[in-house]
Amino acid sequence: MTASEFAWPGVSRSALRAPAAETWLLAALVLVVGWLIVPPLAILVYGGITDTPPAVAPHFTLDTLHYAYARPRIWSALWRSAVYAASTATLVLVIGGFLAWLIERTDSRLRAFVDLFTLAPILMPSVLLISGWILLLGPKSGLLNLIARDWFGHAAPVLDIYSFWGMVWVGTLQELPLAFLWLWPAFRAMNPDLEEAAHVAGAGFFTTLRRITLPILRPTIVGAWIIFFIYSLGALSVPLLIGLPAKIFLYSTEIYLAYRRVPSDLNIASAYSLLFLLVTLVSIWAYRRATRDGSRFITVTGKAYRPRLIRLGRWQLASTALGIFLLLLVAGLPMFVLVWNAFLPFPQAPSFASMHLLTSKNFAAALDYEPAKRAVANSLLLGVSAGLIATAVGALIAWLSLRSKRARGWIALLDQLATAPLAIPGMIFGVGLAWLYLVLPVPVYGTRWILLLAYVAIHLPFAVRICMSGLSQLHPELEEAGAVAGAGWVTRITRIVLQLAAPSLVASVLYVALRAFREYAASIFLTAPGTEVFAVLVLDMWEGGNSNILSAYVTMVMAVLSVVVVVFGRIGRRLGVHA
Amino acid sequence: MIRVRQLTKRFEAGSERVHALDDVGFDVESHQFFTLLGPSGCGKSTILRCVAGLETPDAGDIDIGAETVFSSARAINHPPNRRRIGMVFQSYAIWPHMTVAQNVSFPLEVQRRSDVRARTLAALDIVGLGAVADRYASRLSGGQQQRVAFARAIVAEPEVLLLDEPLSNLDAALREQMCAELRKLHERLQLTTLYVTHDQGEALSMSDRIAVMRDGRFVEVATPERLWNAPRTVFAAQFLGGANIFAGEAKRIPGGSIISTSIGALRSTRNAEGPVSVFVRPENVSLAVAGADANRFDCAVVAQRFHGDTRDIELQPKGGGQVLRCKTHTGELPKDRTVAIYIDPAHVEVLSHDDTAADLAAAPLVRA
Repeated sequence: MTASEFAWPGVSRSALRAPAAETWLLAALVLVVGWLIVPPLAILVYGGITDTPPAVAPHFTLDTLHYAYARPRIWSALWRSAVYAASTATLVLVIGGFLAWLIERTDSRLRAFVDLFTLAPILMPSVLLISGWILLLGPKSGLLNLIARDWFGHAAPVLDIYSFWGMVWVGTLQELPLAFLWLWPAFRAMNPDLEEAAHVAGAGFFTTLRRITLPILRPTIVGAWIIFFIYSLGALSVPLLIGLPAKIFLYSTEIYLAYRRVPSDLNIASAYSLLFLLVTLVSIWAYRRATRDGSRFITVTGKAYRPRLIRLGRWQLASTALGIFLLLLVAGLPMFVLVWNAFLPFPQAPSFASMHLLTSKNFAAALDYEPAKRAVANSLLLGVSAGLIATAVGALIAWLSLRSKRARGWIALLDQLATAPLAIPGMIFGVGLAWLYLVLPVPVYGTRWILLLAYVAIHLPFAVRICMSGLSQLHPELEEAGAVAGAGWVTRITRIVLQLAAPSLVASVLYVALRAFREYAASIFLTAPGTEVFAVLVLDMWEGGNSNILSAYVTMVMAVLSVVVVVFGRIGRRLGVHA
Repeated sequence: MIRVRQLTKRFEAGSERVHALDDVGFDVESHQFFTLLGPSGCGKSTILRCVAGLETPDAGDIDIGAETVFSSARAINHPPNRRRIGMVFQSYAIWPHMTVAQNVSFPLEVQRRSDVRARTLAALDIVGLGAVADRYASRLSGGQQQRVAFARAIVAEPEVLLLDEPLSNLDAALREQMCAELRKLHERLQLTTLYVTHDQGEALSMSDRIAVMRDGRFVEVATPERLWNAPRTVFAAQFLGGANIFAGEAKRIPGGSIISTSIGALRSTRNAEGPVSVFVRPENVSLAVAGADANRFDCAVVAQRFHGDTRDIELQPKGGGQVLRCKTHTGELPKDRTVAIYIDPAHVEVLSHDDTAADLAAAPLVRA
């Protein structure tokens, strides 16, 4: 998450840009980003210290806070949330780190799985993964439990997803691909000389791991643990889809319930969100502390050789099996069960008899359901719009961070503002935005605009990071060569910078669009009839009941997503550098 | 023609303001190949980037041709795209999303010149790349990219050509070859050229004039031959060829002077009087010449390095004093062997400008 700091040796203050234009751009960006991020969070304080609903003359009181935190169940929910988040963060880091190590440091053939592993969370938004696992491990109609009953004669369910450890299991699978992608670059960047020097000095494998590898990676590992702890703490889909039916309440569930209660109690929801925000801020502080000394651990040497790989020998097969097994868990099995159920009238273990039951009625029913169609259209429109806007803002921020030498303090502030949502749970943005636009006299609440605001704010950090990594690879001399050749700044931007950065910009649009498509934690507080979005609709359909129609619906959506990914991939490859 | 006057630029380094350029002035005559030579951080690239308009000086004036492109007093500051310059960057800065021909024709296009195709091909022919015009530039070798960068720099017939350490990314053999080619191209195209390098070999072999730089100032400006044979400063003498420098007291004698130095009395054919610095090039320290009486010293071998064509030997005079560097073609000499050396008085040069004893200590003694 730390800003990639790039200073090209010998290149100092460039005189290429007009100072006035740059100052205006910076001021505009600070205002826009500031407006996106700060008021929705600040208004939570207002909500917490009043006991009147939005758009009513406020009555200030401490009763709301007192009432909210006097209830013992909130503290037990908080404790449960902490255990859930800590278990999930630890598990994903251990498994993700092991995978990254296998790929970078051994001759395992897992590298071939990396692309699939990256693709899995894109094609399987978390609501689908959870749906899939409920259909696999539900106590009565879960496919694995049905198979155990019909094929092996187990009367009682073998595994029950509706349990605390069921929640940890799905939460872990949900974040595993992300954790792997977070750790992998660190393993890649780590200079293998450091480990080889330890081997040469006489240290064995485990001594090297303990004395060299882990200490060097410590800031990365601690930082990643904190980030995944916050992610799990703020996650809403697992607590709602699995926790709620099982009557296991987490802290995020309580915020949701306060909001959903009739009449909705936004004051209590705000009061709860405040504590969440506090925990988040403390975590960000801890994250910065943990990764502060990153420069001590500069390990990138830029040498283009592959390190000496550890030979796995007869473990080779086991590592491949592990790769396939994990792929099945994070994508294969849930995807299969969704498609299987989509063609069945009711849940059923595969058998010759069940083959005769296959039907396409579920698809027809899903297509008949108006909100379902509207939700996909809304989500695609909002996703692409948010992708375009966030990328435009993100590219400008990245540009200023990398090239401007003026007002570095303001640029640093802008960067921090824009990256803050990375660690702030989406549901807090949801509650805050709902409050804000119920108070402000602008007709945004209940429309798609409020969702767009939320999506841009939440995904801005990703756009900034992707654009930053793209633009930082453009040597400033490429642009200066344009100036020397006689090109003005418009020509330089359009003919050199944008063309070279195009693949990153397209990647940023796609990534934000896909993330916005699956977003539920903020959306659930912001949708209204007519502005349904995909992920929230899936949650609703679970409450409504027919899991087979739901399966047919999400099967179609997965197909659409695959097409989108393939098309954008093609576009991305056509642009930019011809290597 | 380039005219630079009183160019000054400071950088923030923490809380301090460091002079990157301190009151630098020089002229590059039309058709001249002018080189800025100095160790890294001496400000040579900063001058080049100020001339190009890629950096803004704090004060001074820069004229290119008949036009003033920068003047702090008259508040003139033309952007780089209005300066009619061609430039080859250290990284070449070849645009990887364009073909070779597109790279080279870019300046013509954005300056709205005519005959784009013909001029592009002509420029590519000059650097011998006509055959790869339609290839993507990112698929070329380092040497070829270098040529594309050069073609792009000259295609629009700039008033001046700026070269920022263009050879530093090439391997030794290729660098040698490109050196020769660049000089030939200069003689053919007669472009006013400002060249930046830290490599004395490049500077000596290509330039009409060289400015030796240090800490943001010019130390000495002269032709290559003059700079090599008769530098005026200790810094220039040591930076080019790593000369042996002796501080001493000179006394006139018939046919020259005699200088008392740390290694003993040294005779020179130059006339000098009073406190001076003198220098002897390592290649002018010769071994075992019989019959010489003056300038003959017995030394012990301290260390040696073999370079293929020559051998560098460090020698400790028996009578005490500073270690001498000697470059010869002799065979291997065992350590501590005593050898007699001779320095021809005609090769004991007197530095006319003594840039202080502190400089002597600070200057790098041996430069590879």
